[in-house]
Amino acid sequence: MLKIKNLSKIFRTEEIETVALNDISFEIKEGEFVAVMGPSGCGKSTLLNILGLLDNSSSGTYELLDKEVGSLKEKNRTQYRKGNIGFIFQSFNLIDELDVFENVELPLIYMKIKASERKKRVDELLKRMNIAHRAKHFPQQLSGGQQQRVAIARAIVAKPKLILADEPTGNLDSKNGKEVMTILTELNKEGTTIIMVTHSEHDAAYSHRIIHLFDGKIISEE
Amino acid sequence: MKRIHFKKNYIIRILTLGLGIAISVILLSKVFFELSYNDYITDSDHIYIVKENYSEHKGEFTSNFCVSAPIAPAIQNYVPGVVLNTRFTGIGWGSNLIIDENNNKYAGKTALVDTNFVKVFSLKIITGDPIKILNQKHHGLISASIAQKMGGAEKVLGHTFRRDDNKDMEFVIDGIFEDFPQNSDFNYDILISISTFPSDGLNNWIGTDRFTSFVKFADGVNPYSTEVKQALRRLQEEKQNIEQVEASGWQLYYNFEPINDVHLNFGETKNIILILAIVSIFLLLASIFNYILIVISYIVKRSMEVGIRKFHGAKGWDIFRLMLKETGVDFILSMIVAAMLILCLSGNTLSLVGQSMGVMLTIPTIIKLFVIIFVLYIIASIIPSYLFSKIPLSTVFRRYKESKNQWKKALLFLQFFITAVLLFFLIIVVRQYNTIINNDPGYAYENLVHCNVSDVDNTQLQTCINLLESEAFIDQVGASYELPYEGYSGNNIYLAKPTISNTGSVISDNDLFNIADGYSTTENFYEIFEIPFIEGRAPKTENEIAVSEFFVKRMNEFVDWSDGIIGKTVGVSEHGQPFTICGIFKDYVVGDNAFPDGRPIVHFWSELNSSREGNLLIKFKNINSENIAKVEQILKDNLQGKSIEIKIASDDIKAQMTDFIKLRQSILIGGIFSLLITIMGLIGYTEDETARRSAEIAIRKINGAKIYQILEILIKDILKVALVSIILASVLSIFAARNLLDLFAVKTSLNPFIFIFGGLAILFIIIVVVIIKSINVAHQNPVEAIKSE
Repeated sequence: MLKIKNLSKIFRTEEIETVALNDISFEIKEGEFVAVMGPSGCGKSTLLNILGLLDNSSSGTYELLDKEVGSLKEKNRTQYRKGNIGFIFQSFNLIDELDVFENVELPLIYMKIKASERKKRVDELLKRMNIAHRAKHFPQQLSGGQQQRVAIARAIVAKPKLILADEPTGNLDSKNGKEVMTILTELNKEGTTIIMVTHSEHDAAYSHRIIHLFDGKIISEE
Repeated sequence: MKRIHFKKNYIIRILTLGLGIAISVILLSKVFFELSYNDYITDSDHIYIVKENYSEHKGEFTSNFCVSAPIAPAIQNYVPGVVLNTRFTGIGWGSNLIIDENNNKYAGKTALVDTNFVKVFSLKIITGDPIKILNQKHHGLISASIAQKMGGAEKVLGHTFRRDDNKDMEFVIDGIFEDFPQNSDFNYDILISISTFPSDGLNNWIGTDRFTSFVKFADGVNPYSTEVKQALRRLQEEKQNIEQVEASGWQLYYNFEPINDVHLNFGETKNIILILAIVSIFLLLASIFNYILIVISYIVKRSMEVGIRKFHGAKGWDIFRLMLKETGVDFILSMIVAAMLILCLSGNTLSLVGQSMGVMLTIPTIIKLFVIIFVLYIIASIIPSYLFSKIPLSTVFRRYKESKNQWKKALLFLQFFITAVLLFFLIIVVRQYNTIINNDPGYAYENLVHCNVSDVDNTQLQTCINLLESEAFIDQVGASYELPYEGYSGNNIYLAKPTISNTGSVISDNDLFNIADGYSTTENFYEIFEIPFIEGRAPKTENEIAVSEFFVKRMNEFVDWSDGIIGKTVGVSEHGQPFTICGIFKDYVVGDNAFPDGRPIVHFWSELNSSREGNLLIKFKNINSENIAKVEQILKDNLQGKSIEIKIASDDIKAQMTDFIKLRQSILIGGIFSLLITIMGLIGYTEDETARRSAEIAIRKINGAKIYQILEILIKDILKVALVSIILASVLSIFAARNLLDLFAVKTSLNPFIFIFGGLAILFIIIVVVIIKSINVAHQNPVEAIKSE
């Protein structure tokens, strides 16, 4: 599914240079559920951003779906991301001005999918996520768990092959957190590859493999 | 970086407000200056000008502000409540020069005034007893500024002066008065006793109606009351034998107009003041809306601060006080910026609005301006403080997300609206100006100069004409009493003998219609101005007249002259004898091109070497400054003692447009600065919007949105507001422009494309500004935006 080799990311300012990722290499196969763990500032989110084509690495190679994507320009990264990668964030990142239906529909609009098809797919997903009755509500009118379910629906509506989840339960109580993890497990069982950054041992236990990061390096895999 | 951004926005906020205040202060100062005309006069609200209204042969009434000399004193005698009167008449025909004992010439406006003049017009006397001086024939006073030019009091007092246009008129200066203020309609430099005027003219109850007369009413007297009207009628019955006058077909009555309205009712003053006031108020509003918009944009950034203040006990009033204080500092800084800008522009205000800032910024005007700015300061404090006080206490614990977008959009809407109205107006005024300038007046003036030759010796004049005609660069030399673009006075046409009307009845001495009387011209006047004859020829004798095409149309409304008008005779009031029509020339524009005189035109005949015609017309084959200088030299050499001033006709015509050009400049300034302020407001809004929506933009980008799709979202939002405001501005502008153009006889068309293209141009500017300001954000790495969230 994806392969990274000798990947580094260095943030430079006028005064200091921070190494976020230091020469890391690993491979994730299609259908895997991988958790990335480590203390704050170890480079987990940076790694996720590079894997999600939101950011470029400073050096090294990144191969996604048999294509080298590490050196792609932003325009091409956007194009490649569409339909291939879905994101789930800790803070949900829903658009306040759009209602639930419109938030979920968003990726399909940019993929230029017909309105009737969009409606069908969004309705199905909202039913599956148990939030169909909230379709016309705005994010601020929803609970945290409901918001994250909307975010998951948005992440998977384009049927991506890879889902990147950045602490998806970080802002949720245990009941809602469990619900989210159950959904991710189901999606993985349906064949979606999932890479999840988490601090929670409990959540990591849902994954097939755990990569431990420390100071930008992989210190163990289990 | 944030601090730099904050500082940059703060500077924009202060500069735009300062800029708006500066330009509005200049324009409003002009408005207040025009409105303040004559208000320096003590009790000006009790002083009224006497208005004469008359009609001949039961025709339409004509009004003017000149009456016969005895009328004003008689009004004081007859009308109860009139406590003071004065009358005066300006003198000088085409020349304002006075000559001292050493033959030095000075420019100065002269009037013959009575002894009450000084009291009524609150004139301050520096030297001399005005009552004593103005009671003596050929004695008078002079203004301090002219006295200064002449070398001071000792060179003036007791000395004799003459007028350039009438060297027989000598006068002795015995006193000096302080110059009239600039906002005076009576800014004469030399005041000579009215007793200098021929006594038969002073005692004439009907006729010699050239005296501008004012009366002062006591407190509580209504100048328009029936009692006053009856008293005026009694005056006319006893002094003018008005019943007999009326029996002969004339009608004549007097009424009053406040002195404070005299200036406003002159020409286009009122319209220009109105337009200037609208432009300056629009500009001020645009600046204030922009200021509020930028302040509100900070609401999200300052929500935590307000939350903490509230948490520690601040109430709504405390927040309002905080805003008052902050806005106060901003206003003070903006006013310093405005003062500096005004100081920089002060040298240009004369050409910009026709007055220097030093003259316009009087104490009352400064007070009025401060009141306006104070009101705006309160508005600018109230709206943000209301919004800030609505910030909930909970913002201490979580991020305040409310954008106050409706407020911002409403303010942007108003700014777009104001800018669009001013720009539409600007386009219309420029088009109207071009229409007027390019409107064919029906005569040629390009190679023409003229010179006042009144009161010169006919033999000397003939010598000049001979010399001028012998010059190879001169095409023709002619003369006329009037010049077409300066306007003609009026007289009435009546039938010289009983004539069969076009309905078959016989009509006799009724006045038929009023004409623009071009008075006498030389035979070649028509060739010089290239006015073609449709039929007949130019007059060659004193008994002949030439008439315009429109004259024939008007005549045919009354009489059946289907056999031809050439050879027919008509009477013309004032001119007496019946005249034979010898030619019909093509209609041409009389007066200025913006407000042409629509009446039929009549011209009489005169000889070329007769100095009574006043204007010597010199048409060049090849006009240039060298040739003009040669002409000037010939006239100076041969018209001894006469001050020669050559005037170029095309310059005269341009000068007639001065008021209109100033109006155009004012709207241009208002439009450009309003656009500038709006653009700055738009930049602030876009920066704020992109910052506020950075997370949304990032999410959209993560979900596949391309750059143009991000820009589309930002532009669409603003375009909706802009489109509605521009459409509404178009509707208002069409309505207002129609009223404006109604003031002009020659008007530009209100083509809908003006509004379509003007609106599209504004939309284009808006789109460009939004793209420039948001392209960076659209390109920003979404990770950064999400991180900062």
